Amino acid sequence: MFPKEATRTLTFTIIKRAVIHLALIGLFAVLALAQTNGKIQTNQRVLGEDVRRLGLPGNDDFADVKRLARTPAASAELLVSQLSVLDHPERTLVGDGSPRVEHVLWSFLALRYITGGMDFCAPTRWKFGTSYEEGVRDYWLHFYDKSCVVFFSDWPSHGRTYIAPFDAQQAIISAWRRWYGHHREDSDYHPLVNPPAHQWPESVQKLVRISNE
Amino acid sequence: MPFINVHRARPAKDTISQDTWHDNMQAAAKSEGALPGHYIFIRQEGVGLQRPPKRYGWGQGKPIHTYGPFRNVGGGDVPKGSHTYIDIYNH
Repeated sequence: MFPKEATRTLTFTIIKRAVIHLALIGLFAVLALAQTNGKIQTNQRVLGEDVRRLGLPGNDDFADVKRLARTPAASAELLVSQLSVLDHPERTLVGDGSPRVEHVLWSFLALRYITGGMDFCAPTRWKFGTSYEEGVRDYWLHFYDKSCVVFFSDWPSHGRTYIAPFDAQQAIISAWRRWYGHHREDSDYHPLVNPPAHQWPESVQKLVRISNE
Repeated sequence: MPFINVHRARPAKDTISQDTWHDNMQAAAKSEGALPGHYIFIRQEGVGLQRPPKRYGWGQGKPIHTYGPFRNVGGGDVPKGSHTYIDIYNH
């Protein structure tokens, strides 16, 4: 074999090996990326499932909320999407509400948990009636602040829950959506740190008042 | 939930209100004021809610103490009857 031919063969071998190595590296990269995407999709699916079953009968909501708090930003997006206006707010909930009502209330509770106890409070144009029940509703919805109402409020010793009038419900849901819009890329979430289940659901740590627009 | 407003009231002069008041006073006198307990739940035995909703996060186990029975003459949220109990829970 002539030296020139030998050099050509060697060069060809080197190029061939380099191509094979590059192909293998590319293949591994694609596999790793697919695996990562798969994991992300699985996590999203699990998060979505945790959010969807909140408040449904028999579900361990407290455990799900704790799990959601591990990925607060991703959970916040899903939770905010679950908020909706509740019909017949003038009706007192005695004990548990319907699965739909419980789902919405738990979505608020989960948001409260992952934001370190934050909640919104909105003014209302609703004139509370003179009946005993309306008086109690007025009192508990204004419990945290006399100038605005929270989305829902409990009368602990009686197991009764009061729902805010429509205008306040809408304002509070819009406020959460705006809040998420500003915190979409935020990594600065401070969820509650393992509070006992009997302490946090009825405790608003940071009340954000929505001004009259 | 912190209780920031506590109101005092005198019972009405009628017999039922006075009886209820005295029953409550007797129960209060037996309390040392040093017993544990963070939450109260009022119920009429066998009628309506017997424990708070699960969502509250407390009151799903056995109460640490129960006072009663009292007679509830009605007019409020707890069902009327003569088997009214006040359950005390720590969590």
